[in-house]
Amino acid sequence: MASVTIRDIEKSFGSVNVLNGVSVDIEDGEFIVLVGPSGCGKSTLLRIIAGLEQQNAGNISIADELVDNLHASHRDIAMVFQSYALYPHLTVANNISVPLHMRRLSFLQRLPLLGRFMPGHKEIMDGIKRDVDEVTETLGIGALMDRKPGQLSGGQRQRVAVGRAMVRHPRAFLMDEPLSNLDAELRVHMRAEIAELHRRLATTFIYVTHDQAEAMTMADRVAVMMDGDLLQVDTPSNVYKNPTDIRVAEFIGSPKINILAAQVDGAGKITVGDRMLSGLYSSVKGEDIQVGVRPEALTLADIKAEGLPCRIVHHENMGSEAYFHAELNIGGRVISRMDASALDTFATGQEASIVIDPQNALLFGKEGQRLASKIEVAA
Amino acid sequence: MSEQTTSVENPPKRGASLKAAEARTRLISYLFCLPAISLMIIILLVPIFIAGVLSFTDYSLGNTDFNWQGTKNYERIFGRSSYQKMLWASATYVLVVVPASIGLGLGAALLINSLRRFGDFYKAIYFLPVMAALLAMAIVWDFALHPTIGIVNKTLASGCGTLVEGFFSWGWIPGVNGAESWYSTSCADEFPHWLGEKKYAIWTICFIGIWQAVGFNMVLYLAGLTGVPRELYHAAAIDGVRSGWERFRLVTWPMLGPTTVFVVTITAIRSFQVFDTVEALTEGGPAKSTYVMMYAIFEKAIRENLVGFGSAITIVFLGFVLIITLSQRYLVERRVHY
Ligand SMILES: Nc1ncnc2c1ncn2[C@@H]1O[C@H](COP(=O)(O)OP(=O)(O)OP(=O)(O)O)[C@@H](O)[C@H]1O
Ligand SMILES: [Mg+2]
Repeated sequence: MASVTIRDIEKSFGSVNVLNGVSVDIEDGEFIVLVGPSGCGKSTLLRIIAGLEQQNAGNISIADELVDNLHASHRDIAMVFQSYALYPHLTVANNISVPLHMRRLSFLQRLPLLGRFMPGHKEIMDGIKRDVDEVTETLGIGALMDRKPGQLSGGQRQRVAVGRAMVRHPRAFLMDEPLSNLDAELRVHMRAEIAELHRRLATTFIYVTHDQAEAMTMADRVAVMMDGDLLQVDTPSNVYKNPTDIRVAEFIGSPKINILAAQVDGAGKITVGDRMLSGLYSSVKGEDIQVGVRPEALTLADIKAEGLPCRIVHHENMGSEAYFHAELNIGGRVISRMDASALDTFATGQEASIVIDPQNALLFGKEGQRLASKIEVAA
Repeated sequence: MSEQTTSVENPPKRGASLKAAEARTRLISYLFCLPAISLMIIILLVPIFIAGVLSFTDYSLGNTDFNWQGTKNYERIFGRSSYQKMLWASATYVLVVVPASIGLGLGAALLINSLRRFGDFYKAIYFLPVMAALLAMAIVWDFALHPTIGIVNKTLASGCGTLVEGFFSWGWIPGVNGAESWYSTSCADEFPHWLGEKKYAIWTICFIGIWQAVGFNMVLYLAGLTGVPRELYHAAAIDGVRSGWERFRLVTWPMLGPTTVFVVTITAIRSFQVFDTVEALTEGGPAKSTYVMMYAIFEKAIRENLVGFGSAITIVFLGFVLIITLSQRYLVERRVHY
C-alpha cells in the first residue's frame, strides 16, 4: 500500500513524443483508471511506473520515495499484462509462486537440484505453498493448480495473472488492459470482480484501459489521456458531467456527446442555428463557440415545437431506452437518447424538432477548452 | 420422396446402402492418396527395405547372385575391432560436436541478440562456414594444419620461448611444473601433426565439425529467440528476477525448448552423417581413429563393392538416426510443447 506520485513524465521514442509532461498524484489505496484512445501512451506510462521503461524526464515516487533509479524488481509493485505473460512451461501453482521464489529463496536455495538440500529450504517452501493456496482460494482457481497456462480459458488465465500479482502483497497493482482479451460477458463479470478485489485488498490500483465503460464503472478517479497529455483527472461522474476539454467530453460517454456550432452575441446569449438557447449565457461574448449536449439532454419533439428542425434517419431500440439519429436541417447529425416509450411517437424517416436542455449544455471554445456558462432561470 | 418412404420402411436396407456408399467414399479417398503413397513407398521405403535385405547377404554390385549370410554382417560390425573403432569414432564425433556446437551456438545467439549494433555483421561472419562448402574449407584446413608449413603450428611455434609459452605452460600456477606442460614439451620437441596422429586426428575433425555447425545452430537459436515474447521478460523483472542467469533460467531456456529439441536432432543427425572432412583430410586414418560410419559405408559399399556389408552398416546407421528422431518426438510431445 502506497501512494504513487507521477511528476512531469516525458518520454519519446526516437523523434516521436509519446508522453509530454504527465503529472498525477495517486493516493494510497486509490483505484485510478488511465483511459484514452489506442496509442495515446497509457501502456508506456504504466511501464515507466513499473520500471520497465526509462523516462526521458520527470520523476516517479512510490510512498514518497523516488524510485527512478530502482530496478523493476525492487519497486515492490505488481503488474498484470494485457497478454497475461504467464510462464507457459510452469503450472498454475508454479506461476503464482515465482515472485515468492525470487524474493524469499536465496540464490543457492533456488539452484535446480541442489537447492532443496540447502538449510531453510523446506520452511520457506512451506510458507510459499501456504501463501499460494490462500491466493488461489480467494480467486477460486484451486482446482487448476497443476494445469499449464495453455490448458486454461482466457478468464482462468486472467485470474492466474492476478494471483501472481496478488501473492506477494505489493505496494501497488498495475494492470494493463487485463480484460481486453475476454468476451463481453466475462468482461462485465471480471470488472465487478476486480473492483471487489480492490475493496478487499485496499491497495493502490493503477488500471489502464481504452474502454471508457470500464473506466467509468471501476474507478475512484479517471485519468483521461490523449496524445501523450493528461487532460483531466477526476471522479467518473465529474468527468462525465464536467469535462474540462471537448476531447474528454467526446471520449467519455456512449453514445458520443453531440457537438453543435453556436454563436454568442454581445450579451452572452447563445444561438444554435437560428434558435436561442434560453436562459444560458456564455462567459465569452461575440464569438463562435461549440455546444456539447449529451444524448440524454437532447429530446425529440413535434415538428411544430420550439426547436431545431430535423429528420430522423435511424433509430435503435435498446429495450428500456431508444437512440434516435437525426439529421439537422442546419447540417450535422445528432443522437438523442430517450425513454423507449418515445418509439410510439417517433420513427425513422419522420420530421421532428430537437430540443436542447440548456441546463445540461456544455460550452467549449473554438480550441476545445471548456467555457464557463451561467444559467438564468426565466422567472 | 419415394426413396425416403422405402428407407423408413426398411431401415436395414438403408443402413446397408449407407455402408456401401461409405466404402465407396473410402475407396475413392484411397485412390486420391495413391500417387503420394506409391511415390513414398518407391523412393523412400523400398530402398531402405532393399538395404535391409541386402544387409543379410554378401551381394556385390554387378553380381547376378548372392549368398545369404544370416546375421554375419552385423556380427562383424559389433564384433570386429575395426568396426568397433568405427562406432567409437562416430560416437565420439557426435558426443563432442553436438553439445559443443549447441552450447557455442546458443551463446553466440544470446550475445548477438543482446547487441544493439553490428548484429547482422556478426551473424554473417558466424554463418560463413555454413555457407561455404565443407569440402572446399577442408582444403583450407588441410593447409592450415600442415605439420611444418601450416599456419597453426607456425603460430604455436612462434610463441615458444616468449611470454606466450610462459603463460600457456601454466608454470605460474603454484605446484605446476611448466617444463612438463604440453606447450613446453611441444616447443622442445615439435608440434603435433594434427591430422596424422592417432591421438589428435578425431579431435581435430571434431573441432572442424564444431567450427562448421556453430553458425547453423546460432541461426536456429536466433530464430527461436525472436519468438520469445518480450512481455515474459517484463513479467520476470516485475516478479523479482534481477540477474541475467535467472532470466535465462526462468524465461529464455524454457521458451527455447522446442528450438533446442530441433537443434539437437538436426545436429546429431548431421554429425552422424559427417563424411566430407574425413574423406578430404584423413580418409578414416590414422589407425581408423576417424573411421566414422558414413565413411565406412562409402569405403565398403562403393570402393570395395561389398554392398551387402555396406548395407548392414547403413541399417545400423539408420537405427541410430531413428532412435534420435523418436526420442525427439517423445521429448517434443512430453516436455517442450506448452
Ligand atoms: N518501443 C517502442 N518504440 C517506438 N515506439 C513505441 C514503442 N512503444 C510504444 N511506442 C509508441 O508509443 C505510442 C504509445 O504507445 P502505448 O503502447 O503506450 O499506447 P497505448 O495507449 O497503450 O495504446 P493501446 O491502447 O493500443 O495499448 C504509440 O504511438 C506507439 O507506437
Ligand atoms: Mg497499451
